[in-house]
Amino acid sequence: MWRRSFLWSLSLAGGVVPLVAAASSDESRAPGGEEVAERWKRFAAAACLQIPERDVEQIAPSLERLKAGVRRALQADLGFIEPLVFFRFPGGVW
Amino acid sequence: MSEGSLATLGIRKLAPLLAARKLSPVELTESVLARIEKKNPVLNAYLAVLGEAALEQARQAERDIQAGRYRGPLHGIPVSVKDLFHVRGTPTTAGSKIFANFLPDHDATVVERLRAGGAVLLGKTNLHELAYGITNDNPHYGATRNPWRPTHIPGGSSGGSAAAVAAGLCAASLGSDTGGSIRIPAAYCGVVGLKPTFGRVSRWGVMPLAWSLDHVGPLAGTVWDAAAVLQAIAGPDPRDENCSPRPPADYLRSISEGVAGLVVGLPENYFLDRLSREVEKAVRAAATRFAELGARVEPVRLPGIEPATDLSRLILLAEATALHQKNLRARRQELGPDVRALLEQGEFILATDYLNAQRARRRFLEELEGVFRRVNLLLTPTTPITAAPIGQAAVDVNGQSEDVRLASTRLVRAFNLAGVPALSLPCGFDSEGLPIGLQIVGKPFDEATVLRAACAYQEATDWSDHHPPDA
Repeated sequence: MWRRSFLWSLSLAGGVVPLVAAASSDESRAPGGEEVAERWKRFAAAACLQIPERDVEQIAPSLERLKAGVRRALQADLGFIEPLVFFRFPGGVW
Repeated sequence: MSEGSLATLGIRKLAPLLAARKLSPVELTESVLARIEKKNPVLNAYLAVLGEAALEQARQAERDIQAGRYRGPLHGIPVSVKDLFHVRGTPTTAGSKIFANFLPDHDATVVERLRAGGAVLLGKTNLHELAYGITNDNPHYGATRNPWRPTHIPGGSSGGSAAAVAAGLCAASLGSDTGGSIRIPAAYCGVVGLKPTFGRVSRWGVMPLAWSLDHVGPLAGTVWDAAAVLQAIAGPDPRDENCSPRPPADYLRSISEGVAGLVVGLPENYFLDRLSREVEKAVRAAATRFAELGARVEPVRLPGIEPATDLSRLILLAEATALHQKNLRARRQELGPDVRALLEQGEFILATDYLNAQRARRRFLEELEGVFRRVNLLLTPTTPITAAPIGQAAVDVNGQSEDVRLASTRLVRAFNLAGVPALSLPCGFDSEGLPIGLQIVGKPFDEATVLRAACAYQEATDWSDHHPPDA
């Protein structure tokens, strides 16, 4: 029972949609130095992100690791599971 | 007793002295302020010391107690809050140059509640910029130093709060925890830190970092002290729509009931992998101690724990960048390089990634619910390592190099994702004399059992009786 009410409680959080980037990530190739950085630079350019190229080079390995981890996390079939956030109920729903 | 060491006595010992008028709140406050003056230039735990205001609050507490209006265990107790919490008329810098001149016109709900309990607010503590990091190596206000070894980090982002408690620069403090920011510094500084259930403590008037992961909670020298602070700050707040209307339990009433009959799960996957040998030894010894105290310690598995850590990171990146995007784009150069890099990473998170992470989050909660049908608590290390030297980016964990930030957060993040209560308390020291943290995790809104178990362990061991040199 705690889960039902607790899920609702978490669903109250958030409410702000994060940035919708205009390009999709390239998930096809294994991480590999410059190639990885170039891929994220292309992403940044396509999404019109005004991030200096040297910054993209710096964060590219971390992004690559995180995206790979999340891909693994999402391999499970989530079926009709709905996201936790985006719902706000006046007066609370605990 | 050396000058300024009164705060290390803790709330449980100080409160009866104050109530019985054997100790004056003014004398106590003056003593701790003198210690801050002496120690803070080295530790850099405080960003703002509110000396005059604190002394006035102490004088008021003294008048109230003398008149028979004793308010409870926090009355006359010197405390601090992380500089993320609004205190009327005092800047909330959030550890950032961008907010250096941000002057709130109100107190955070939890600050109001500390005041209502009669606590004396000494000042605001240093933090990792925007509460977005774990080293507390703040490029704008200087690094906070670990009282056990000033060349080492205190952990973060509530590092100033943990260092202040450990060094006797306050009796308790408030911190925030989005990915371990209460528990990590508690572990590295050898104090107690509690991240309560999501919605247990109001976040109104506390600068956010990630709406669905942020929690507010206490840091203190003992479990009893942390429970006393939680008692004062927990409960409904109509100004925070994420705050639960459930009334809080009586945490101090059940805290001495021991662990006999409790089932404690010791995860056999993930949490005991890639630990420093000294941390592993200390945590296994703690599990044995729980069994000796009458708990039934059982192995459990959490198959979804590793992905949960990545999901938590992704949600944090997206929410933090959504929050700070305007400043990232307009005032990029005023951000420290590590925080800027994290905010930039958030620009690369797709809405679909974020939504799918929030969907998978439900799966992890279901898994955790299954585990908590069999056990009352989980026992894990708080961090796989002890505090690293300031400026060191990577650590060696049993022959493998690992980023200090990732290592420090990998055992704590998932419980922000799940929103369940989690507490860190000392369970030993490594060969360099640095503290090791034990994490106790409970069911939603069952802080009472977490505190009860932690108190039983603390009272059966002497780890919390140790203090840094000259504290």
